[in-house]
Amino acid sequence: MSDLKKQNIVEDFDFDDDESEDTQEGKYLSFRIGQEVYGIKIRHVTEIVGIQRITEVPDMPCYVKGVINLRGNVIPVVDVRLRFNMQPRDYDDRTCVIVVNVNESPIGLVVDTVKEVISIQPQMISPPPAVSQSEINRYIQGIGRFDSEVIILLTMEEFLSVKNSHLTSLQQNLGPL
Amino acid sequence: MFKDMEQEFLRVFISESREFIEEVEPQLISIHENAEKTGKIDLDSINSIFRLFHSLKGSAASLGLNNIATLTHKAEAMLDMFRVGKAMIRIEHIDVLMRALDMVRDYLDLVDANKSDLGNEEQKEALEGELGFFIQQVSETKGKGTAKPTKAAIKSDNARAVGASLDSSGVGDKPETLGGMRPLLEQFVTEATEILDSSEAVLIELEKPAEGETGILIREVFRGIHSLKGNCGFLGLANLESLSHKTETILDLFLGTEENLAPEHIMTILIAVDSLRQGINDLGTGGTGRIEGKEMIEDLIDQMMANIRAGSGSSKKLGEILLEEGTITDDQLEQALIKQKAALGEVLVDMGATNPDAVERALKKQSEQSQAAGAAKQLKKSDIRVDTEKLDKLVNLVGELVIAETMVTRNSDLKDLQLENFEKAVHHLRRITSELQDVAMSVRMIPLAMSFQKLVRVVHDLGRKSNKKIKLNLAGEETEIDKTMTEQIADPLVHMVRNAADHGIEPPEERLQLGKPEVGVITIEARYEGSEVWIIVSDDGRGLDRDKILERAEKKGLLSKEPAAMSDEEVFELIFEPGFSTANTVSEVSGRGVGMDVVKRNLEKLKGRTVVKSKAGHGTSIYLQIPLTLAIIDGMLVRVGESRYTIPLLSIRESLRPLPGFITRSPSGEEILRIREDLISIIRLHLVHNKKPQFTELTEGILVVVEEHGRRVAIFVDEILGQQQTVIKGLSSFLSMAEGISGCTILGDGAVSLILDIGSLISKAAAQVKKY
Repeated sequence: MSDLKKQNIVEDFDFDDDESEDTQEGKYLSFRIGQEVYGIKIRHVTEIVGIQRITEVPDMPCYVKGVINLRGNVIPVVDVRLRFNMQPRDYDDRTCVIVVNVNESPIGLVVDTVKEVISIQPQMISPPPAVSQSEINRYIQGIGRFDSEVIILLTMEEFLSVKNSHLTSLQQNLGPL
Repeated sequence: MFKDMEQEFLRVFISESREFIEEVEPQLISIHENAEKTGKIDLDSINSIFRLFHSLKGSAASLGLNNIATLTHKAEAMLDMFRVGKAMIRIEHIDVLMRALDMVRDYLDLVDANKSDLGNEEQKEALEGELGFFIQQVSETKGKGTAKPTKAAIKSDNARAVGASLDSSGVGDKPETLGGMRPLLEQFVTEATEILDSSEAVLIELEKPAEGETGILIREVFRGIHSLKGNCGFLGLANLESLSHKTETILDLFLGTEENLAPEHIMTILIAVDSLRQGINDLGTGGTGRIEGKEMIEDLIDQMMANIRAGSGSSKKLGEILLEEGTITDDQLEQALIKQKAALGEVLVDMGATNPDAVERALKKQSEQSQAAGAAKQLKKSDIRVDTEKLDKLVNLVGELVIAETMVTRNSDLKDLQLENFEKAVHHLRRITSELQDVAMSVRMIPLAMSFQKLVRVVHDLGRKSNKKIKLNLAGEETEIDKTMTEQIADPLVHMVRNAADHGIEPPEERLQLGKPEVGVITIEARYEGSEVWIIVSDDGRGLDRDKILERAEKKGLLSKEPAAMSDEEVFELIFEPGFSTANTVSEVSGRGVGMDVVKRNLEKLKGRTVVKSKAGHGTSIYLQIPLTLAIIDGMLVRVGESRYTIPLLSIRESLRPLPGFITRSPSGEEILRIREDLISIIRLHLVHNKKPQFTELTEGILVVVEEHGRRVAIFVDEILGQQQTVIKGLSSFLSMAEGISGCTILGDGAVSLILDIGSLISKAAAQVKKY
């Protein structure tokens, strides 16, 4: 995706709109990882930037790529691909960092490409498949349908909560600290 | 809009009041201590505490927080006894005042949460009863000179009744108490009517007083109303008490400035007296002492006081209107009030030309309002309250500025250019930014005095509870640390002091047997040490018992290695383990093994460390070593492969490219650098951070020797890039697991560089060595 297109997505949707509580309801930012399309609630998203130089931080699980400098704020970035235990892939000019703000702290999500902002009606969202007991299921809010596409909607709070993610997995790796 | 204002007032009131309380607590204790020593009460301190209570009461009342107002009023009344030298201050007095402060604090929390202070009334009344009991007790013993001995007897009866009910049920149940006091109430009503009658007569006489008698007359009314107030308060008649208090206050305002007393003032006071009478009548006929239109009358008095304070001695219009009304009856009251209010408004407008003398005099008066206002004035002069968020932003922006400055002045485009004037300008800019930095940093810094003062109370209470004699010494209270840090260390300090008092200091008999002074000493000291603040809590008590700690730790399964192989330091560290306690019994104060765990955890949040030093029989010292965070530090930029790291300059001792002969390998594979007589272990930064370095041979790169707390290591890096001002940015809590990193900073080219935390790096290296 070109920078221009990224720009367009951002401008199409005014993230800072004050009266947005209502208008943001049911809106999702969709992005692609491999062949799948994922969506996150638009109210979490603060901005989308191209991939930046990442400074690695030691002692982190592999999917915490490090930190980037976002206009003077140092924010951690998580590679969504690695978070889902998928094969790593080299970053290219289509790779994006979606900056989300969850629980007052900004975090960058590295995704393959950003698609668009879409509205999904609640009736178009079905609960996550109950059969799959994988850990990843915890982060899925539901499966949405938009046009002919199926979109996996993620719950950011679960996805990024320190308790559920790397802290526990790290402790499992290292044993009791 | 008004709501916002009110909220703002409340917010300010809460935070100010909390500060008040913190200020008062240590003062109270020191007054008692001094009083015990010298047999005298330090009047200045009592006065200053009295003033604090007074303004607290005033503010609470003006915000409609009546529970706080009445409680502080009672406490104030008690303080007044000592102020006028009627009684010697005793430990029970201090205790009850402390509990009153605690209660006010609870109420403040309540106000913070609910915007109102309703609730806990029973407890409050019980406490007020206790306060009243002491007041009565004091006036009973010292009140021989008072006019009516019968009254004193009645009062003491009352006091006993309340005291007894407190003893039996703990919390006095109000209706019952009132019921039980029925005969007393009747007596009170008769007495109060007498007082009001005579006051009325005197007031009327005041309208046309004999030459030079005004003062005496006012005093007479004042006395009458004052004792009425006391009785009302004692009987828990809040309405009557508050109105008589108001009346008393206004009378007090005229004491010494009789010439200001104008007919319309007398009129207002008469109205108040009438209302009081109506309340008393209500009480006499079985009511609860309700006063019709009480708020309005109080408003009226408030307005009048404001009027007087503004320097207006008289206002014809108001007087005229009131005089036209003639003798005021209850029915006419409301009407008169409305008219008078309107007139007062006009008067206030007329008052453009104020009389400076009167203003000064009025200010001197220790009237409720003028004091509250005076205190507010002082506060305004010395400080303003700023949202900490704004301060954070300021500090951030200054940080950005420093980075931007480096980006401009070290811009690669300027390389190799001869720019004499530019250099001068840069020099100037740098000076200003560095000064701005200092100011911005200092804004968030507050002295530790506040945090320490709280402990005075803690130690006092602990000493009382455990029957130990403990003296608290404070040092370095002026040491300033960041505001957020004071919040984090508040709990640890309390826990450490508790531990020292409960486990450390021995009971007096035991101390005497051991040949120690009877009074145990806990010392809290703060000082800057390098780039850290050290807070040291020490006691001269038993000291830590190594064997006992080990025994307990073994039972709890906290031992990770052979007890014999553990150094004292390692053993003492065990006391910070959650659930660890050597106390045989869980006391009210400590023993659950939670406290020291809190110390450790909060210190970790601050990237600080704890060090325990102890000698059996001589006492224990716990050091809290906290880095001064949020700061801009001088850093050395080093490179490992493609990554750049910042090492705090303060930690660096030297850097060198080692000759092959300098390096030794231990059998365990550890690399050791030998400089002069010292042996220093080497940390390969590329291994710690899993980087691909340019050099793997130690002799090709650079070894940076860093030191912290006497422990040294040599860090192996590819090269040193230079020295620069470093704005520390904390790592997101998401990354809080990162060890060996104290934060990060943004370099001139926009890249992020991690700042190495030398202390934890050394510990980490030590741990790794042990594993091999």
